[in-house]
Amino acid sequence: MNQRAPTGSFADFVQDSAQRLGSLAYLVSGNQASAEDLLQETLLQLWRHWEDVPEGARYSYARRVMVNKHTDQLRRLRIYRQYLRDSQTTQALIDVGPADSLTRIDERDELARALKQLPPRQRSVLILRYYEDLSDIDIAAILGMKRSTVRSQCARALKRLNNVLPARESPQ
Amino acid sequence: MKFNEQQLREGLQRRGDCFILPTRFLSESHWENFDAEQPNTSRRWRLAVATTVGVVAVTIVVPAVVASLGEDGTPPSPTHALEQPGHGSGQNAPRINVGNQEEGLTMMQALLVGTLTESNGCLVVHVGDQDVQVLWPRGYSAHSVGAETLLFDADGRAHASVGDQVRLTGGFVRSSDHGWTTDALRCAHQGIKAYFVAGLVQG
Repeated sequence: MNQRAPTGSFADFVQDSAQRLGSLAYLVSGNQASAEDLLQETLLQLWRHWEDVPEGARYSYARRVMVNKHTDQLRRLRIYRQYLRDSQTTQALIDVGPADSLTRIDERDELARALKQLPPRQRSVLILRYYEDLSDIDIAAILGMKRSTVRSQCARALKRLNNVLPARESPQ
Repeated sequence: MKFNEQQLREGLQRRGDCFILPTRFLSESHWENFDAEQPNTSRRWRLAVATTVGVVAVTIVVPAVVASLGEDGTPPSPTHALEQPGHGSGQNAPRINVGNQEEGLTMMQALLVGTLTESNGCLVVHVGDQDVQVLWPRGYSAHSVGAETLLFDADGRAHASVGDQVRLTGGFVRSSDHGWTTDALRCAHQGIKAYFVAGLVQG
């Protein structure tokens, strides 16, 4: 078995890209703790496939892994919540709103609030297009959808975003 | 307020900058911890495994299946198979999966019911006449809101306040079994030998 701890070029990759990938994880997952987990899983997968991934494609590989892992996590979470509802083993959570300072900052951030209200796929499309500056073709390849679907999802996401924001700012 | 594309780019950039990269990611020792644990899943390795499985299937499984067919070429019934000597024991014994059957959601599922209590600045669960030290799920935190001390999950939702009865799934582990960092156990009292690792928390 020739597996070894990542050193050298992997360490360089982490040094150069972890902050950027972590920020992407933060955007798609919505909080620091989930972003750290997502980044960890992504980098581990990259490490396992380090020799298989061409040198120039490692960041894009990691980005694809990250977005798809997050989608997969959400799917599992939906299944789990459904399981809890079906088995009636839980009761409604008490939502008293934000408590810690970080959450308060999030809630003041209109964009963060609005992003959380988007369906995961639409959120991913927006982030990949406007944060990662990817083309529709690249986004379609990452998310496994048609280019036309990317465009329509993006348009819906923007429309929804703009619908959500003024509604929150209108006086009660 | 509506976002145009440029504002959206700037907003995402600002929000992305909120992520604080933990220094452990930049430490080689962090990755060395996974050295011996991770399977080698390189393309060559997978190809070798697939080839081996294929050879085994052709040389062992296929002849075995052919030999197991009845004289008329039909497979034996399940009942018949169980009646054969050697069946129903060892590796052929039926297996019962336990735990959560949902995909990827296995966890310890012991139930701990008690009163959420603050002890020395940490949240513990009071059961009977003792406090149970809890390792809360990742991202959980406690904060004072007004006169109350509330337990929040990673998404900032309050689950319970001090004095509430809580139900936790999880399991007890001995502290000596794990090389936990002092950070993970900063709330532990001296002399505690076991902790309840919480999975699902219900307030």
